[in-house]
Amino acid sequence: MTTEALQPSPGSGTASGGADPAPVVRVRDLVREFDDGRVKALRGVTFDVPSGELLVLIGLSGSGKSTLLRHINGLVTPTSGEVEVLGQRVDQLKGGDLRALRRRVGFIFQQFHLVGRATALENVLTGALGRLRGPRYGVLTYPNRMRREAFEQLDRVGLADQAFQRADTLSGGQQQRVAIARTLFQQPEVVLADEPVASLDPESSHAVMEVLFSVCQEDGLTVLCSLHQVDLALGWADRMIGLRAGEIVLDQRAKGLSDADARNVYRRVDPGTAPAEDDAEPTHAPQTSAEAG
Amino acid sequence: MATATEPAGAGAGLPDPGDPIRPPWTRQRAQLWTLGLLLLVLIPIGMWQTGMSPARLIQSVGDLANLVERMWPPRFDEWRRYVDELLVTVWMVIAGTALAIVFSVPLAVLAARNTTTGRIGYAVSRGIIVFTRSVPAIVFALVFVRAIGIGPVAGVLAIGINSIGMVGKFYSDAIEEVDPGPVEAMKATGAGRLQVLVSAVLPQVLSGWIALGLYRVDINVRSAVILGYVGAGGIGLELQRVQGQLAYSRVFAIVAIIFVLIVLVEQISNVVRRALLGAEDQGRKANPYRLTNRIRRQSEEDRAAAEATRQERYRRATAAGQLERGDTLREPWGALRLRKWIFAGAGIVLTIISFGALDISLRRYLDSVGDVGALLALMVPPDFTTNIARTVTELSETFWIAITATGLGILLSIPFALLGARNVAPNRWAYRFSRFSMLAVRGIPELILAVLFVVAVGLGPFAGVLALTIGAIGLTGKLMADALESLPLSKVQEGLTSTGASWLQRTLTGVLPQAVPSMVGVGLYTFDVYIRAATILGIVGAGGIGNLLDSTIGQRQFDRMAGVIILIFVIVYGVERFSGWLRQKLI
Repeated sequence: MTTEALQPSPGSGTASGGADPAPVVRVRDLVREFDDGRVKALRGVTFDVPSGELLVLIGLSGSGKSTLLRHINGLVTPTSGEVEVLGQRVDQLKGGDLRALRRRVGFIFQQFHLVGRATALENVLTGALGRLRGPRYGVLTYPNRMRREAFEQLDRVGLADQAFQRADTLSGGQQQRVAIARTLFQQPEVVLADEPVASLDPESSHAVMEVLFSVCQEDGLTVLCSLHQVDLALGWADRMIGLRAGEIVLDQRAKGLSDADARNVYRRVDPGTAPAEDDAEPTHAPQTSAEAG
Repeated sequence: MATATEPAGAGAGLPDPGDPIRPPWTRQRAQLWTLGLLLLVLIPIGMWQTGMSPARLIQSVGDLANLVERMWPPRFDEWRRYVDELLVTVWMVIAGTALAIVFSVPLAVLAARNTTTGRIGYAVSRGIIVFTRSVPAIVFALVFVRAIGIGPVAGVLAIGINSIGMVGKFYSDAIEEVDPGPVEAMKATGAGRLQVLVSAVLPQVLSGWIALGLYRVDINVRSAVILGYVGAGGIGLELQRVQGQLAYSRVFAIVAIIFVLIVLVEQISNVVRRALLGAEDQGRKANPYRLTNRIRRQSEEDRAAAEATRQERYRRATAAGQLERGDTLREPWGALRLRKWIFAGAGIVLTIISFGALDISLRRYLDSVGDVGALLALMVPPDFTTNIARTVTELSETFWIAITATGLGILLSIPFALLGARNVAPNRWAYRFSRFSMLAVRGIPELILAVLFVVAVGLGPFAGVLALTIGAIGLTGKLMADALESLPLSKVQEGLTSTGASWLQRTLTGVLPQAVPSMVGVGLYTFDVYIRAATILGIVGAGGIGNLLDSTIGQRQFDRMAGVIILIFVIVYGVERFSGWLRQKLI
């Protein structure tokens, strides 16, 4: 399986071309606290993502990956710091402006977040809500041209024959592919994916990642994806960022990054040691060496 | 669901250009569409049948404004009489509910499959439960007023007998759901039937029984405020008197008093229920400062403390190998146990006071058995055929009132439900506004609303439909909002938010489809309740078969009255079974 995942990596390398002058995503000193500061999800995160880059975030559950991604389309607002996406300060946008930006930023969720009782096609069509005025109910209230486009996107992810199945009757892998089609139909410039395969079995995980990354490459989209599977990440990513306890502990090109170095981000699995102590100094030391190497 | 992939357009690959992309007809889609279309067809027919023309609707706005003008300001000058009668109503409710609980317990034991004595006992008890549940309290009140005379005794009996059905059904359901393990264990020790019931069944069902008893007090307050209208005692008597005098500002005063009573009782019974049972949090974020939550937290702490004390005693007893002198190993009097006994004692004392306050001796109740028996003799055989044309007309009117009010009510309450569900509402203010409106409407029982609308727009089914339609905001709106709050919607909403959808788009595209099953369920339940209400609206002149019931009693044609009561039972019971069947089919 590891070899399979590694195969497409040369392709991904060529797709991300030269560095753009203006980054698509620009994050500066991002801090986010919950429960009146008792929980610090992000403690000052800074990075840029150039156009067309496929960036993979790795880190333990609770290290702040989801929170970070949700800042980028404004589902969460920062406690302090700046988040700039496509030249706009997301943390300062409101109402219609925020919705307009969200339309340009696709989001793929770990739990798919589909409307379970609606059909696959209807779910894909909801990707167009940001472009349309007024509420919609049911497939037939969308223009036929849109229905056709949505159908094509479903076909792209290999689900054309399931278009009129209720979303909650589909398997997990199929549901995630519907969600990918919804995001594609949104015609985004940036795609955020929050552990898109964490609730899938290994077999469908590979299929879904294959679909997600290859279509994003075809369309030349900038992708920020959080993943647990280091092998998958190394196979596809242009660049990897490792998060631990809300801080960046790894930021490197994927090419030349060793499996062991990447897995270092996940240290702290030993039970018994208090997390706070574990975080503070000892683990930082090997990390810096990893960045150097 | 393989059928969904068959039709054209859904085959492998893309459809031909120019082909419209349409979802295929599945059975479920067809069912939902049929239901929707049926509503769209039935509502206009019903409006036409009940005289609800657009012109009349517009006119009714003026009529209502006119009534409000005549009612304002409320006159509380006779408040002493109102308070006296209000107390009578409260005593009637307590006495009636107590009566119902006492009779429901043996009935429930017989009507539960796992404790019944035999087929006959089961059939008879189930029969009593079904009949008393399906005939509205006010119908019993009419009969009892006629049999034993005007006054609160008739009211107590009506409330009691009508409550037996619902209380008995719930109690027997609770018995059927007990864990059979302890029952078997008791039987294995050689315990007798009664011993098993008391030691194995009762501890398992008691908390549910108490909760339902309190809930039934809520329901009975709602029906009791109107009972006096037909002579069965309480505040309704005053309402009928001042309405007869056309003293509308006093009508307003009485309605306001009724409103306060109902809201107050609802809140009190909620608080008591939680204090006794430590009701579980319904998944919503609890406000730590609310009285109910403080009580709950306290009772949880008390429970933990009591348990700790008990364990400590046990440890001491076993460690010493013997009990300390004078240690009886009785349950310690913790705050929780004390509170339970105080509430239980208060309940018993209130029940005794209520019978005393109504100045009703046991003798009076025993006499009433004879009176009712005499009336029953006059009711046999029931007459269905005299003036059958009027019966049929009023029956169809009943149906149309229920259908129209249910349909319009659902449409009207959807926005209230969406705004009143914490996980859907766009902001706090919309939520509060909607919840407050629903609470306010719920504070006025449908029959009282009907009395007001009859005054405003005149006699007939139009007033009835208006009353029930408005009432749906309180009933259907609240149930739908609660159902929405129990649905896991956050993921669906987040998914749509991330595409840049607005609140309205999110709600219509994401929330409504997910809510369809619960809305169908609540809609059918509304129809259940409204067919029941529509059978009695005629008693206050708001259309339907209740009108015939009232006039047969007025003319002392008791065999015809019996016929009408049986018809009401058949309709209510039939609709209940039908909607239960439909619910299973659809959801």
